[in-house]
Amino acid sequence: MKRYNLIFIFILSLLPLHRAVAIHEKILIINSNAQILKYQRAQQAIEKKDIYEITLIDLANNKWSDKTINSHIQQTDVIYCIGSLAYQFVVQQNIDKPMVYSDIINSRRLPYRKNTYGIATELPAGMSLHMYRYIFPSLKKLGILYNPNQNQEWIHEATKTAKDIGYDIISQAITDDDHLEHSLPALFAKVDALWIISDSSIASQKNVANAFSQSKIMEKPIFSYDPFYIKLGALLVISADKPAISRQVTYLIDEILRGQIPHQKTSAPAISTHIILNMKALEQYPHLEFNSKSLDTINHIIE
Amino acid sequence: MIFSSRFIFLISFLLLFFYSGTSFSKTDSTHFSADYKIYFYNPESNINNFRSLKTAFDLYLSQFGAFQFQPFEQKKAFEKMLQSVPYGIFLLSSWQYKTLISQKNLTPVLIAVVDGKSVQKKVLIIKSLQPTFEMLKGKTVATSGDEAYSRNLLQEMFPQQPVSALSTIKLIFVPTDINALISLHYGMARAALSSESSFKKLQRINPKLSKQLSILGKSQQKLRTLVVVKQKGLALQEKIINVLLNMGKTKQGKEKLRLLGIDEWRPLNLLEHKQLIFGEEGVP
Repeated sequence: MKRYNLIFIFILSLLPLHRAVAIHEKILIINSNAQILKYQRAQQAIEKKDIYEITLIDLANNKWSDKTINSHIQQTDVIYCIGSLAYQFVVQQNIDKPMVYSDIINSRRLPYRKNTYGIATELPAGMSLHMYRYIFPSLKKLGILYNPNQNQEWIHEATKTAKDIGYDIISQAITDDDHLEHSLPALFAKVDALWIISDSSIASQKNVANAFSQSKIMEKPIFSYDPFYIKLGALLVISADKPAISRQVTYLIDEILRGQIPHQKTSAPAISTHIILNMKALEQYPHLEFNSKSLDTINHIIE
Repeated sequence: MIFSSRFIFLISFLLLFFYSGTSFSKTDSTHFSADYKIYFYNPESNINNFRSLKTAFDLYLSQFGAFQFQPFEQKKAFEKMLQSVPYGIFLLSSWQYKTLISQKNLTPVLIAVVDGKSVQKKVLIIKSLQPTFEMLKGKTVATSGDEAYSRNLLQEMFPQQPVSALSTIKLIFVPTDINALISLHYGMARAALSSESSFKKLQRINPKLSKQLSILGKSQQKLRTLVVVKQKGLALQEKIINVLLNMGKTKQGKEKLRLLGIDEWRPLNLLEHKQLIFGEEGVP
């Protein structure tokens, strides 16, 4: 019998007991809707770390009363909001707990909250521009269509960085769909490639179809930020790498839990790229110089 | 404290089953297949391009026989595979090979070449024109390598610094060297680990940003990725090594190699063998 006891104790000693003792910091995850895949993945990335005591509130699930949610918020060390609904929900609670957020498009439009830090869903323009230059070294002029009410500041920043890299950004402010239809041929004539950015001016199906049709006629490629455009024939898509955003979020949470005030601004840019290159589309542009040495920075190649 | 023997067996079985299950979760069961496998892990990159790598290499290798390419996301799983399979070909970094050198049946046969060179240097770049190590304390370094590899590089670059000072440096992991370098522009890291050649690339792409950056640390020359054979002498191995050796000679093969960031493979020379055994010292 004694021998069995020893075996049991030996096996217990092999177990990673540190898990049991390390878990003491409380994270409250408020998910705007845990059924949405990207939100689900953001949540899982934190849960996978397995070092926090996590409470999860899914706002799409009605089982939570305001009282319960409030009690969880009071008890937690850090609140992690996934999606803008979650963010707005916490702002309404008017409670002074540190908050970290992710998966919010254009987070600058959100109401300000003290003690709040987040990682933007979008890459800064400069990150994409550096990669464009590396992958297609001979490109000089990039065309962008944008809604001035939405992206004026972004265009200003992109134009400034582009200058440092040796690009000319030719931007065309769009006021309505007709305006876009008429502007496209002239814009394509002036640029080497069109860069579709996250902007309402070119979000409709009709406008997107127009852009790709012009791209074909003018034999000039389209770059974009969303993998959706690859199916339509975009040559290159550069978006923020989601696992890396989760790492940035975890890093922020760790900093706050260690009592350090993050050095970053309220919203920090995503700094890791996820790149899709459409090799089939590349064949349509024989005069476009492609740096084959950049292939080791591409995540996914469409052949 | 007395337990019944049945209870002890039951608990022991459940515990072992549970924990062995989780620790094997990233290990592929592919070594049970009849195909000959080339296993790959790169501690110098966090880029998730495994699907593209596998598709491209499987397609290329299938022209020459029943060969398969198996990239690994995690070092632990890769090394577990390396230990468990009786034979195979492994593409791994020279740093990792040195940590596994006690395994007598591993033989390095080929080395990666980029721009005619089989060696590279790593540098630590900081956004300051008067850089000092003090600037790193408690700060973040962006790196495209894995944690063990990156910490090892920092130790090598600052041998005079105590471990306590080095351990205050926090690492943030990004997919590529260029991401790490550009993160300095956005203030997301105090410094970035990069290969010397990636830093030169940035100097070409963005001279203005590069002028604000300095080299704070430099590693010794590192041998590039190796092709290592486990249990040398099997006929199929000779065949696949020849296939790898010839990849850099065709357009199609070259394209696949570029996915790994290399131009071609060549056999290791005597000096490189010596360097793997005795370390970097004395190697030009």
